[in-house]
Amino acid sequence: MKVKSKKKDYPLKGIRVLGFTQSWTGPYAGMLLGDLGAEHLRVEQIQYAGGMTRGIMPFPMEDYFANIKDGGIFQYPDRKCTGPNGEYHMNRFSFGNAHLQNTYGFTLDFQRPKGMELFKELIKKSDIFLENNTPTTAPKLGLTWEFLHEINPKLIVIRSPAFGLSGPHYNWKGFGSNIEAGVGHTHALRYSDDPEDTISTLETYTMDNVGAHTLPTAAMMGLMQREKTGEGMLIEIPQAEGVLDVLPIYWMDYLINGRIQPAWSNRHPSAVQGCYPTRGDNSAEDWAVITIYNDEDWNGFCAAIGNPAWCKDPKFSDAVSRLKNQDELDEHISAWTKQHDCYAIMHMLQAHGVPAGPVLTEKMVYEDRNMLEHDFFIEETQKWCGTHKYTGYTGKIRNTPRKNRADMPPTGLGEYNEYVFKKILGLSDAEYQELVDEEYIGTEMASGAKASI
Amino acid sequence: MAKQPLEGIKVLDLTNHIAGSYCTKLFADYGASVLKIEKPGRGCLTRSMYPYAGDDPDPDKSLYHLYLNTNKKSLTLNLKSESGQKVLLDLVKETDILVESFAPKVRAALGLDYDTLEQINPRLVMASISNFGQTGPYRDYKASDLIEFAMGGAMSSTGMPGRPPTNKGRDASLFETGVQAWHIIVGVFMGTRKDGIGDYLDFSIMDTELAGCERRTVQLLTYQFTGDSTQRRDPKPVIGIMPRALRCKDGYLNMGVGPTKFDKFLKLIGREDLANDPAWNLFAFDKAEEAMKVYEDAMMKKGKLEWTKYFQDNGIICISVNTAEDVCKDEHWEERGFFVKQDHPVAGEIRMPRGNVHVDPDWWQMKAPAPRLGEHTKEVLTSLGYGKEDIVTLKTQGVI
Repeated sequence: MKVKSKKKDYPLKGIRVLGFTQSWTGPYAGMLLGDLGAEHLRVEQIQYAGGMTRGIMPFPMEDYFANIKDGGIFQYPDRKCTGPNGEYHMNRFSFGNAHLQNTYGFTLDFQRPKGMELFKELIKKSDIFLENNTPTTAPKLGLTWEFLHEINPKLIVIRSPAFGLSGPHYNWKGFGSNIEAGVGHTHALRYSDDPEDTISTLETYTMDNVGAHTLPTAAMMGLMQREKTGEGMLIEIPQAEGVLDVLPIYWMDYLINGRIQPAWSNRHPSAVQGCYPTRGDNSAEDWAVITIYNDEDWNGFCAAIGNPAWCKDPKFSDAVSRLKNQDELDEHISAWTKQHDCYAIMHMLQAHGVPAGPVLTEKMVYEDRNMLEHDFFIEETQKWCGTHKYTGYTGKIRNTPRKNRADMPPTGLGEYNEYVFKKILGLSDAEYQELVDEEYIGTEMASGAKASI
Repeated sequence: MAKQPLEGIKVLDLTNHIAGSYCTKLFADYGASVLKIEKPGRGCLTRSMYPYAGDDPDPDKSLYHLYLNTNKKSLTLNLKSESGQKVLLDLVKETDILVESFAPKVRAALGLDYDTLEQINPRLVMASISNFGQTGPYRDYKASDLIEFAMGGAMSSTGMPGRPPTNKGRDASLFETGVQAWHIIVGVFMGTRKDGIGDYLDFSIMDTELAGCERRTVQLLTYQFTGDSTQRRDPKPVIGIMPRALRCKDGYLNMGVGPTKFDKFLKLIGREDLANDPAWNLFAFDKAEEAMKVYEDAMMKKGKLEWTKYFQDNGIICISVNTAEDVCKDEHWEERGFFVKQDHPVAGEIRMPRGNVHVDPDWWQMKAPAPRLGEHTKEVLTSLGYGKEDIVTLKTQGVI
């Protein structure tokens, strides 16, 4: 169904964002501001591969990646770091490429004075300065709040370090898995029946998602506030606090009731819930999840599976008994789910009003009817990688346009150097060439480049 | 001069569960006036969610309700009645942003469609948050946070090999949807406040999960690049022969040691001999088994907090695997005043996390605790011009 839309402009047209950002939260936040029409410039250095955005190492080992065949977040097209026609590896890394759209990537060695002078000129021409490094990184370069405010009083400065700008752990360093461990998510994510000290693997982090969406929202609140006061401000968004904010019950139950919530895994404190094996038509591993909240759901469930005799067992006939006997109940449910395909389980149960769904593998996500009908994926052609389907935007918006990520696919290292230095900063061809010759800028890592880990 | 950035923005909250309620909480905590419309008698679903303060299942004591509805006002209204609909439309006239989370069928039955509402208020920004979106084959399907994570998140790769995939922290997927929706609604509102043209937003929780800044986004691209799906992995080597988790005297440590810091790590655990041995490096896979023994022997000598401080002080990434108790007693959050105290008229003294955006003077403010059911009904109706007797009539007829 097509609905007529009204003509509107990009909400953040005319706003310039300067990103001094590393892995996930910062670059992703910049991309989201880019989606809304801001011009998102993101600096990198050819002397330093930061935050694993473009690679674990400046010069990757081809053999290592050729042998990673179980997916993950660090990979290259066809498992080849360098492309078949010599395409540059830093522009082919799945981790960075997943979130470098609507971004003007440029390089600059700001560790040398001349580079820093140019960086300051860009700061003066920006509305929003985003950074998510450790708290000491920017001040060490002279980029303190006081200095930034002095050279550009209207600048909105957003700092998003792991633990904040103050407090005993302010300078602790960590990636997602480390921080999520420190704020209790890892502990909460164990299998319910595992001993207290056993942890399961995290292939999901909440801090990045919360941070990536809070930073641009705070930036927009800053823009609204700036209209009232005419001045910029310093905004601090600790990434660890984002996790604490979206898992409130764990802390509140301890602080208010003195209880440490168990690791629920797939169970639920007041519903029959689990992840069950299926017949496995879709992949070698095929699972379905089911939630039975109340008597109505239970009756629907029993009807959907044909009311077998065990459904009438008093052990399962009311909500309290079902929760008490869930281990036994799970065996009955599993015996039924094993006879069916995970999608069939969803459709059969949902037809009776029972919440259920398949555990989707990557392949299943791309083939899912709902996602296809929502036209969710964006086909993007990036010159170093070719054409692939990328994940789409949050929400469907009727009138307000978002910048098409396909028009600005994942930026290459230094791809927009000319745009930044000639068009924005007005450097001459000769001055620009000097920056190239002196390795202030470039489109490939300099020999001897270092990595952050 | 307004101190909070969202001051002056009027939000009508017709949400009933976590994602929507968290989205409107974020508006309220940063200054917007948020009016929550609740079903007379029962109220918002978040009032009847485990756990409760003092384990007392009172609609004002659910910890979800106490957290999700801070700084909001509550109006009870029977939206199925014509008189209730009239009140709603009066409110829509002066609303900037309306957020609702009814099932699409229910939304339509309640007459909450944007085409109608924009006739009354052309500046209205309306957002619907539903399990699978307003259109598509699953639009009427039910879900839970586990089902949303299974279909939109990285569940298939979360957990251990040979065991079922597992959920992440309880309801995190739904809270994250709330943050994402907040972001996009503010983005759209940035345009509307300039051009006066309203908009309609349709959030599917499943799509939102997939659009988030999560491992899943990259796993999907890796799949596009190689055809490989991300498998559940043991907490064995994350890079080379360095595991993600190391056991120590009183728990676990979560490590982040890359190729450039591996030698330093070996020195710091007292194995300078190995650090200087050219046969030992992060990718010496033939040493994998021996390495685990080396780590275990060294790490059991100290506790998790001691190790964390020691490694952090020496430039190695390491953070202890903390329990809720460790987190709540952490000196860092104590000093930052992160867990704020609040007096609630029914639940008593409670504590909860504050917002993660810090500005001086603070944009995040705790001005009022979560409201009691219908606490502001009279106040709101009076402001709409209903007299004392009208309010009695509405109450008698079960509208409020």
